[in-house]
Amino acid sequence: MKKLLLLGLMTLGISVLSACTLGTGNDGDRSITIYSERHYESDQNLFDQFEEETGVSVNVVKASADELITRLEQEGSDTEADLLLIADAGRLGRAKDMNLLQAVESALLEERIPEIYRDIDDTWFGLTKRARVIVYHPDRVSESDLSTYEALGDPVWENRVVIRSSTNIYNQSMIASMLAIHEEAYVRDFVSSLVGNFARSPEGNDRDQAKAVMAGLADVAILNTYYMGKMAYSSDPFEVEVAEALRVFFPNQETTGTHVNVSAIGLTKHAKNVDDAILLMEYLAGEEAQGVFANANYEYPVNENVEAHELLSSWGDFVAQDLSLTQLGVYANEAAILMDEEGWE
Amino acid sequence: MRLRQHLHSFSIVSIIVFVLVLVVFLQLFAGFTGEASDAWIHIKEYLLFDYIKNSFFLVLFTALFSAVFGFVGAYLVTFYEFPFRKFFGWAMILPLAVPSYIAAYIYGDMFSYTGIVSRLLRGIGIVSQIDVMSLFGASMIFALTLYPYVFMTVRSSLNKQSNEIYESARLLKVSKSKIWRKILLPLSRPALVAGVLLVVLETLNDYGVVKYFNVRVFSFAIFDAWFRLGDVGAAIRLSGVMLIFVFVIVVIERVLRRNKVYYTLQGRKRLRKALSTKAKVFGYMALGFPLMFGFIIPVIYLSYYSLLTYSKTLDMELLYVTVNTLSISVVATLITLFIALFVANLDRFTTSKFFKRMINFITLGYAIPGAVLAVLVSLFFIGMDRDLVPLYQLFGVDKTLVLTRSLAMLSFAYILRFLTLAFNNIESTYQKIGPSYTEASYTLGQGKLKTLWSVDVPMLKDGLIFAFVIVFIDVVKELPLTLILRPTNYDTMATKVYQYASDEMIHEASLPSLLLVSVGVIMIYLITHRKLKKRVK
Amino acid sequence: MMYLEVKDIDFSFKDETILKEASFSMKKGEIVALLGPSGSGKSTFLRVLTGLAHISRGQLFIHDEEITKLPPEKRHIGMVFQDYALFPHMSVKQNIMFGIEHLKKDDRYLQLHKMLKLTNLTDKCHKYPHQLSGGEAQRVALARSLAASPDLLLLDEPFSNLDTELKAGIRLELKEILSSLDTTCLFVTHDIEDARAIADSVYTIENYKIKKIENANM
Repeated sequence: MKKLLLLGLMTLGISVLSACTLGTGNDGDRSITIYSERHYESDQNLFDQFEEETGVSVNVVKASADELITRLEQEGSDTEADLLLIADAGRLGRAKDMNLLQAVESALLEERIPEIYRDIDDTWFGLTKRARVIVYHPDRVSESDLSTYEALGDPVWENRVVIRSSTNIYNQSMIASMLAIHEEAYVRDFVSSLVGNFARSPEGNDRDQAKAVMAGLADVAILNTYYMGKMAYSSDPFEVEVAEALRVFFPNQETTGTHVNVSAIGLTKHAKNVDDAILLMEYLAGEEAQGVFANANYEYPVNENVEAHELLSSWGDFVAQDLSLTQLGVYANEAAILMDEEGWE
Repeated sequence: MRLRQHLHSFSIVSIIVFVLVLVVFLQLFAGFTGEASDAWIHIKEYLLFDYIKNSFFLVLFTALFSAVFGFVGAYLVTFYEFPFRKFFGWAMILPLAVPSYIAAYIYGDMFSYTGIVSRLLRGIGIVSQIDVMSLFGASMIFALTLYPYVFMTVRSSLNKQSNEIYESARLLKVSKSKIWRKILLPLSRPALVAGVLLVVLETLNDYGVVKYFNVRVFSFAIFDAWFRLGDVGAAIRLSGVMLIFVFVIVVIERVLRRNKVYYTLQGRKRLRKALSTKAKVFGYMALGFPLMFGFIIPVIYLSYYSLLTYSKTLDMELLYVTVNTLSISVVATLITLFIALFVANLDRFTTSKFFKRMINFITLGYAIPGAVLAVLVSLFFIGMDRDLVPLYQLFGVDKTLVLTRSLAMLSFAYILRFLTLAFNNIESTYQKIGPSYTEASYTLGQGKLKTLWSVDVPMLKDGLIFAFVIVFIDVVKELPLTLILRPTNYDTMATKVYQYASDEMIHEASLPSLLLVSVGVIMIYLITHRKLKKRVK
Repeated sequence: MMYLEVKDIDFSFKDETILKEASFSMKKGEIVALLGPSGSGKSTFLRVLTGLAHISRGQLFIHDEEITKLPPEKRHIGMVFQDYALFPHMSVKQNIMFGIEHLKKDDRYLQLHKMLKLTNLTDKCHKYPHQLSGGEAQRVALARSLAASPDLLLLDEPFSNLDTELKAGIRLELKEILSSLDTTCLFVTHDIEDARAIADSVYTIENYKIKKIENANM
């Protein structure tokens, strides 16, 4: 008797548990679901404001980019997602190749976002920019010592360079951008000479590279501009110290330009609420939202009419790679394989 | 004919579990039959050897360190008397409440340039930095947070050994070192090996530590292939290789453990020896070091940064996440215990070779690393959902993925993974009790289920509670499985911590981490002090 | 057929043959002792009768009904284990009533009191097993099995755990209890005196068969 009761309770429990996902439907009112990699409070404020202005509520699902893409793929036409917002054009290229996105025709988006920061097939649209720069300690390196990424492969930089793992997408995209511009042999040469100059086997994240320079383990590091921003405004006074001591250098100003990447948004292939989703895309690219949106993560707004954060402005203007970022997706796999082959861990 | 007597609730439940485990396993082969992708060929040529090499050394170092921490601690606490012995007796288990990945984030931060250790060193003039984010550092972290498994198994084994063995050896004028070599170590070997195996399996299962420290081992590779390269086929092949690796380890363990010795506790209470002052110093260091670095320092760090960042992290979402974690952990653990009870009962009384082999197979589940299990379980569920679409449509449900990405799927994976842990604990408790009570009940005309409920369960109570706590803590800490299989927008405390760490917000990760650790501490305190209470009676 | 009929059974335990083509029978109300040194397989024969161990060949009958394929809980064969196996979390009263829960409340209590009186345990009925002496524990185990009115009662080395001085008295007590209920009983012992004191006939296991070696001499 008691046993059956227990058994019954259990089956009830399990069905309730599994029912949890059955129940996640949209509300009756207009609402859209965005799969986003970002976790900023300011984003939520923007979405709230968007809802006020348009009446469309925004449901945010947060996870890492790779996870979001895999989910989208698994979910297929069952997905709840209308929008995908992730960092790195290479990843978006992958999502596009996996048929997870669909093209969007929007005059507003075309107006607000420069062409190279939009997918050539209109499946994704960059919203914020970041540059991959050289960071150095002024006591040991002077600005005149620096010029290009490639120069860091020279013998003079032996044991003085740090950068994070090749498995990280930012490095992959950087190499992909070089493959889009140069011959493969050229890039291979660069990678192998760069690896030869590593002060240590890659470990840690971008900020750890800056800290390694600070510690004297290395003299230069390659990392994304927004990490310098995060450290400068960190609640940890020691990170602030690091940010204040180190300097930012934009490489390749005389040659191909500094590598720039974007965080971008795309409309999912099986989006249920296409029109409202496009509204949000246009909103985020608009002048009202761009400042807040980019500043949350110390990135450059993609909308040329909006000014960047004061810290970023203080580093000055720079010449970016004149490269359509769609290419980052095209050369992504090749870049990953090349890095593995040349021993970049 | 013979079949009828073999089909009862215990065997039916066990057979169902067996079939499920088997089917999940078979997904492995489904993946292998596909054509080898470019990514796989690439991995095989450039990376596979490194994965194997690194996994091997990681396991080796971790096994060594954890064996030393656990064994020495257990030995001191069992055979000697010294101030705070009782305290150490239960406190040495506390590091189990600290997930390895949290310890990794903490020490990674502390030893980073801006971390407290480096700053202190710079303060006294030492400029060079200690680099913990290496394979060696990772194995140290695993050893510090997982040695309690060794401590517990060795201590329980040493407790069973009577004093008389050692006393007679000493009367025979056998030297101390010979006693160690010829008596103590051999008798403790099965327990030592069993404990180290648990540590090794947990190490191979981990994803958080190795990802953060960039240690290229199998779990890292599987995640990488699946998510970064988007190649499920490669992920499956890597899982296959990893399973072979794990299988070899398990076989080695079974061989090393082959002399299973049963000893009974002789009635007398153990007389502990006192320690000389010199020995006391050594003893406190040997006990204090792992406890300090495995638990105390992490907790201090977490408390400090929680205070610093709680205004940012103490919000409703944290509350939801905590409730989510606790509720699913309780349900999954209870179901796991329930099933383990049934399988253990089949194991107790069956003489059938078929059933014995079947149970052996089921208990291999623990060895399957979380990442691999996640791959196999999700493939299994997706396939099942696709097949069940007609049924769903019958109920008017338009979706394909009903079970996939549900809490049911996540619970299913938890159960498969932790069934063995519960089973082992219950089985050993049953062994302590012996079969006669259950058999007496049968001869009094009570059926199997009634006996289980009225006779076995009350007698197993302590063992059941212990098993519950051990499994519960593991489920709460669990990361790789949960990361991959969780429903959309569903976070556990563990995934929340991982997310903060991935966003490089280590300090903000402190409050959820502290909560996670607290759950473990409370559970550990409850069982160790419940035990103590009983012993006094 | 006799009350208990064991026909041509083969039985092995851990790859060792214990019984081969063995047969055995008992009359209703008979008390039989199975004699032999410790570890000669006698206890395992009891387990075969209860159904806790399986035979590879042969048949078992009680009261003309075949019980070969029945599980222990369906056989109505009671057993007092060597270590008594009293449920430690239940009182004497609860232990004794454990096997008769299917009876109506009144009948249950009637049976309980009958057993308590018979085994002289009335004043101990609220005690717990760990509070009892060895002799008392045995009586509870006996009462527990007898309460269920088994067709056959088996006792595994009932005297081995007791002090010699108590033994004589207990042997007498046991015989009286069994006689008063007309219980058919088979017990296993390694002591011929114990066997002679209580049993109507004494058997042993020889050449894988069960042989009678003497009839009781009062």
